Amino acid sequence: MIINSPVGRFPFEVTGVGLVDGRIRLEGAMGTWPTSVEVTPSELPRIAARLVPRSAAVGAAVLGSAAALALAARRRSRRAA
Amino acid sequence: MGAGLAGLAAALELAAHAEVELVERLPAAGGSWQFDHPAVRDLVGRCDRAGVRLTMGVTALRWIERRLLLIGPGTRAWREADHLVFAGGTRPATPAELPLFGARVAGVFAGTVAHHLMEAHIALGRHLAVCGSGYWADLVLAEAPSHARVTVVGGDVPASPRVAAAWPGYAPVEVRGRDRVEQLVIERDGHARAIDCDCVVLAADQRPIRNVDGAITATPDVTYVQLCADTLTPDAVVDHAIATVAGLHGRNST
Repeated sequence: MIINSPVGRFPFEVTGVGLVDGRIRLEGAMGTWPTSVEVTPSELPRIAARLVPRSAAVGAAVLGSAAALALAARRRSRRAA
Repeated sequence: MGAGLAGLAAALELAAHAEVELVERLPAAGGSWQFDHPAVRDLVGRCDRAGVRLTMGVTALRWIERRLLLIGPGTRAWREADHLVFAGGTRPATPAELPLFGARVAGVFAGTVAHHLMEAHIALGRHLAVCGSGYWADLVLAEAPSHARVTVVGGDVPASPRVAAAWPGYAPVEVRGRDRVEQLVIERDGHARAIDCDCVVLAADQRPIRNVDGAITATPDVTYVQLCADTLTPDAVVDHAIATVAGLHGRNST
């Protein structure tokens, strides 16, 4: 991983991952400095929203809706039978 | 001291003749060239193989009686050494060094500060006067917002499309304004003219950074490896560093 900041661009080597007080904690080192990054569960949807392009999210929603409709139609047809 | 390209090249050159420790305040080598520049990676590997002790993430504060005071997270230590090679980088000239006269008004920034503020998307003004060309001026021009009118004073005529006007050969001589800068007076061959602006960025005339107490001015046990030029290439920095420390070989220096 790489961290860009106003004081420079540094490598961040992850040496461990764990759950601490309900937060995801990445342990590692930024160069020679011991460093950790903590992510709270409430931040995950926001991170995911930034990672997944809007078009992909729309596509996933359409596919999900189509799958739900198909499943519902299948159940109805079984009941009718 | 300083693990940019100059410090790395100097350390490698000296490692064949002396025990060398390279100290850097940031947690990784590279300095303004950054840790993943190919030339930096190459030199770090060669320094490592040559036995240079790389001490990253600690700040050298004082050089006194051939001892260097290091401060870092959880660290406070003195290092004994025969010689200090100082490769602390360069900075643009200050108003006093240029010299730039006039009131001490808001809106006048060192190129280093202006760049950091612009990176944080802080608007410095609507009409920027950038003094100088080269490394810091290029960084500032790259970050200048599209709505800002940019005038470059002195140096070479920049190729950046963001530059609305350029005054090559002119030098900034006076800042005018009440609370905030309103005009920058520039001069060439005795001819002065005033430029309307609300921000002045000083990016000209590179000077060596000197920030270690006891190593501010030249002494017999300190050598400075700081190439002051508007435009720097990795080869030029490395060649300058090697040439500068070449004379230290015979001293059994550490």
